[in-house]
Amino acid sequence: MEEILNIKGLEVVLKDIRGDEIKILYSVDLSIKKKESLALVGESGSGKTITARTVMGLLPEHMSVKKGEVFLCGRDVLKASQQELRDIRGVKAGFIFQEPSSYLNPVFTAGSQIYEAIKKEGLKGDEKKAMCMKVLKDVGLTEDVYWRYPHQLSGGMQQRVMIAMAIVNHPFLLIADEPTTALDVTTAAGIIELLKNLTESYGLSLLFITHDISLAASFTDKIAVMYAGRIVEASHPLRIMGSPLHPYTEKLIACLPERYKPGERIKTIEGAVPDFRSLPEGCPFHPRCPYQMDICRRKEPPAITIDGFTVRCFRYGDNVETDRCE
Amino acid sequence: MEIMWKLIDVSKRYHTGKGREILALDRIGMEIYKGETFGVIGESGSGKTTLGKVMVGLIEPSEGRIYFRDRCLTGLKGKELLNLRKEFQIVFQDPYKSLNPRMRVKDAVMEGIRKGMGRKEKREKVKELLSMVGIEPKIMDNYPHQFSGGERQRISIARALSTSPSFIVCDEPTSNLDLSVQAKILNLFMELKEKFHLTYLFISHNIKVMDFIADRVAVMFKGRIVEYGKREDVMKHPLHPYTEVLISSAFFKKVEIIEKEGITSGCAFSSLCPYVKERCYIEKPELKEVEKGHLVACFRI
Repeated sequence: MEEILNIKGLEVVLKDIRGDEIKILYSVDLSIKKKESLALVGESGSGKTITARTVMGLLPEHMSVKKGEVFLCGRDVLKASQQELRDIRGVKAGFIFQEPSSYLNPVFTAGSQIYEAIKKEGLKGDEKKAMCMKVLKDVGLTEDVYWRYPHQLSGGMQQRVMIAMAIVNHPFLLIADEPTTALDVTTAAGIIELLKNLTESYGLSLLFITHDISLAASFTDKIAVMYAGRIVEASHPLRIMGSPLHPYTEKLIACLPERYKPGERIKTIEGAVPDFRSLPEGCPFHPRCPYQMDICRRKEPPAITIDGFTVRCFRYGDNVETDRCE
Repeated sequence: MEIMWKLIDVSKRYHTGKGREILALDRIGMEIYKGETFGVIGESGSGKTTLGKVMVGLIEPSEGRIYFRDRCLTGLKGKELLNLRKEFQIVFQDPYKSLNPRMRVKDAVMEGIRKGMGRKEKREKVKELLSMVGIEPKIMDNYPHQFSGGERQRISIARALSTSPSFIVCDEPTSNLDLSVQAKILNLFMELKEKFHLTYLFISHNIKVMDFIADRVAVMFKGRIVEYGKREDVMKHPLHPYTEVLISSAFFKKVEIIEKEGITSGCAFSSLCPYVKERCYIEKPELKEVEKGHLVACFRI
């Protein structure tokens, strides 16, 4: 199958005030095929959004790509000029954000903002408007939304307008950055349903960013778990939820309240997410890991592929050491 | 079981100008027993937060009576109210907005501590409270911006505990937090409940969290309680069509909600209800006890 997005060995650094470089993405590999949906799961500060922003060429000024390649539909985004990037954004890939209310312009109608997003040239006004109406219908809104202002729409409707803007140019990839976090459960369920349908009807590939691993597992084809700027495990949702390989994934799933009977204590992850400025040596998860071994403190585990699933942990592959230290 | 709170026909109206008004709470009647975790679920705008705020006295109800341990709170003023208020506290949703950025952590926690204590005593008490919620007392001189979201929520909890309350309103305390942090905060709530014999009103739109933490659950829709009862009953055998929708959407089954122009005189859910009958548009259903301790406001039952 055709590969829409392919990220190879991506490394992003952040320059702080003193001019020191802090690595915030470490050797990220990702690939999404046509009509495939991939969920990027992790806690805040794990590098999910930065990965997505790199794909769109939207990194903040103080961050830069150190190494790696990002191929979107066969073109290297990192080598593209500003002009070429403008063609990629919206046309090749659409982006929707967590809080739709802060990304819609309050002084323009929803319709005019979708109209403005149309990049196809040589169209008459009427044709463009017809396109807007069609895309509004596709995202489950009525035509009168075209004349409404963002404040007249509910959160769910605003998010649908955002999706309409992102897909009006029929992109190959849709990046959704926590699109349901700010929404109610019933509204969120509607948005998820819509995204699922769009991957079919529009032939979209989906990069779905969330911190809710059970939500991700409920509808995506692949899950990549991020921790401290690394993809620690990439696997099939059923496999991740059933028998996770990486200790972090295992611990993260154990944090879900629905896995416990009322009154039980939830098994939490000891410690906190490490600061990027002072990442522990070796595997970044080792201070919180119940299975830590000697080697974990010295060396960073490489990505190992087992039956097509990737994991970064010394417990798998040829590196297993017999002396386990508790 | 001892009844701690009793709400009788509590309503809250807001005037929106031009003579129009919104019913944020529509004749709420419920009881909360001592020592239980009473969950309130519903979407945003259903009146969950208003209910919590009315109970702790941050909002004055327009109608109805609220009893706390057989004492009527409505109409209570001055010192009496002040003394009673120490008994109940609230923990807010957004730990970034609910802590004063210009107040050191120790001062925020110290505010609630009884007067008449010496400065040293107060400091000791703050240390004790902070270590109880898992914050190292040595960083009590820091400002809120130096803490992460989970830590701030812990500080808010310490602040709530400073008046040694018996009842705490938890207004979506974990919805802004990461999964791993949420798990820790939920554990903390359960620990504190056992330690201090607390009673909680736990507000959340996360049904999975509710299914885990609550003893009894009330489902709110547009300012009304449409169903309430034991957690198992409400979660496993929902009777109201809205509860059905809410629970099934939490587990991401397909739900069809198409909002039509509502007719307000009848049941608030009538415009969305799949089982709607003519009567639903005209009359408002009242809460009826269907099984023991399981109440539903629906004509279908």
